[in-house]
Amino acid sequence: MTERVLIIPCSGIGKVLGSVSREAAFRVLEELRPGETETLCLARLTLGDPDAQEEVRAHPVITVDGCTKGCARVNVEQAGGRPAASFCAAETFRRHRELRPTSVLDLGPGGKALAGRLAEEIAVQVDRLLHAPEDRDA
Amino acid sequence: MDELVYTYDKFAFRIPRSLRYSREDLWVRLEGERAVVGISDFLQQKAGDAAFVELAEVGTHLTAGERLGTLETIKATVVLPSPLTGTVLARNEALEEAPERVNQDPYGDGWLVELRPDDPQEVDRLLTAEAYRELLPAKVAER
Amino acid sequence: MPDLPQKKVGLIACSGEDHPLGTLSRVAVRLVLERLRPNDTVTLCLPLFLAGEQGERAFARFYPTIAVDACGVGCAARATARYSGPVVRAINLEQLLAGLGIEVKASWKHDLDEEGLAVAWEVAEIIARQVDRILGKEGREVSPEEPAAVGEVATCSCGSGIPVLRLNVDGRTWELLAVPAIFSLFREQGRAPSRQVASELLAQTRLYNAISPQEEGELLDILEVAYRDFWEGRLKV
Repeated sequence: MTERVLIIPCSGIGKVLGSVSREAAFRVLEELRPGETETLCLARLTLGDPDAQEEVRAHPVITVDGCTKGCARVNVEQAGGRPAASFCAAETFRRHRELRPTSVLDLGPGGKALAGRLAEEIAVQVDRLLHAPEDRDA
Repeated sequence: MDELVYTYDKFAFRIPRSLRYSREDLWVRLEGERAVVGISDFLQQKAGDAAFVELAEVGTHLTAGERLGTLETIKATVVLPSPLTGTVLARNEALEEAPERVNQDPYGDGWLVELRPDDPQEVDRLLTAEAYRELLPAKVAER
Repeated sequence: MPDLPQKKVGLIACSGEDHPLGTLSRVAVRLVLERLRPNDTVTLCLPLFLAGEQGERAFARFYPTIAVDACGVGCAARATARYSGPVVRAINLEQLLAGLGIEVKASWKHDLDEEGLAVAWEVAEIIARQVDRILGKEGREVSPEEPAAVGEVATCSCGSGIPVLRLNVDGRTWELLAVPAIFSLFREQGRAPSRQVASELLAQTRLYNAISPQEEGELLDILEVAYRDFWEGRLKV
């Protein structure tokens, strides 16, 4: 079976950057690296679902958090996983401050663009984990 | 007790009694000849998660009301007027990499600058915690 | 559990990233928070029960909480019960939508289309009526208000919204969840300060805060003094 990378975004519902992290994850899963990535519900890790815990231990994982609380990263670690890479949308925003998200429910053009930048960075890490970097264009 | 709290709806804003405050929501703590300056809990909650904190350079002389720095969040860019007239002696360099400190610990690790006030007695003319608390209902209504 | 005034209802969505109704759970909860019941509801990011601290884990002990799950796994309801406290309502969206004859689209996992958003509004209205029932405000109009400013309506890790009393005693800072509300309740009930009342305050405080047996004696003294100050107007909470 082809190895896949698990992309696990945070569930941030109180802050707009939580939505950005979620959107970025879906971009990777559906557009940038379909077939090479999967996700699972972070809530299952919070619950302590044994099957979800086994998945994060068995596959390379990239976490994508909205803020410095790092819920996705912490939940993966508590489940016994070791994230191969961890992203934080707040950090991405610091590097692209002109891309301002609008709201949690409607990211707006700025937020979507920010999610796009973050997704590209995640895709690069996926490539690093699955292939030699020179074999793929991002 | 060492802290006042103003509660509005589900929000609670902390106001340590040992500090003085400007009307623009900055706090000051006099330590000998140095005045440590930061933003209040109310301002950090109002502004949101800090993405950038830019501060005046060390050695800059500021008049009270002159721009001490800016706080940039997802929501807004907030200009921070100096509460005192004085010279910047130090600034919190940790905020460059960890701006979230102004949110997590606005009265401690989230301090902004240290000033040498031209007139230390100017600190006494700032608002007490009780007086600052009296301003908050109107400030909250403006949000 | 003390009969603290139930002014707000907690809403916790599963936000399940791997289920079409995960996004819908999230959107429906935000619609209630922002548009339908902005003054009556609070939320918390579910994963904070593990990644957060005591304040987050006290959420469902302080707020009567509705869990909104995408499916029968019931992560929001079960994780809330495990880490915080039992929920007062558990909504399973798969079940709910099946009962309403609404077909779920796989594409809703990423983004709700116009149809999905309409379903989210319908679910939000159902949640809002549950909120009203819990707060004893049944019969209210469920009509959307103007959206509040970003970030104002939902508390997340920045504050679960539970009032906290911070006391600095002999160099140690005590952060006591829910104590301001407990003090207010006791005062409303006319319970004047005494050692006995302080013992009762301690018992209530322990419901929301982890207090070790070694700390109890000291905290009893602190609460007695703090409540007396509160009663006599020297302490504002």
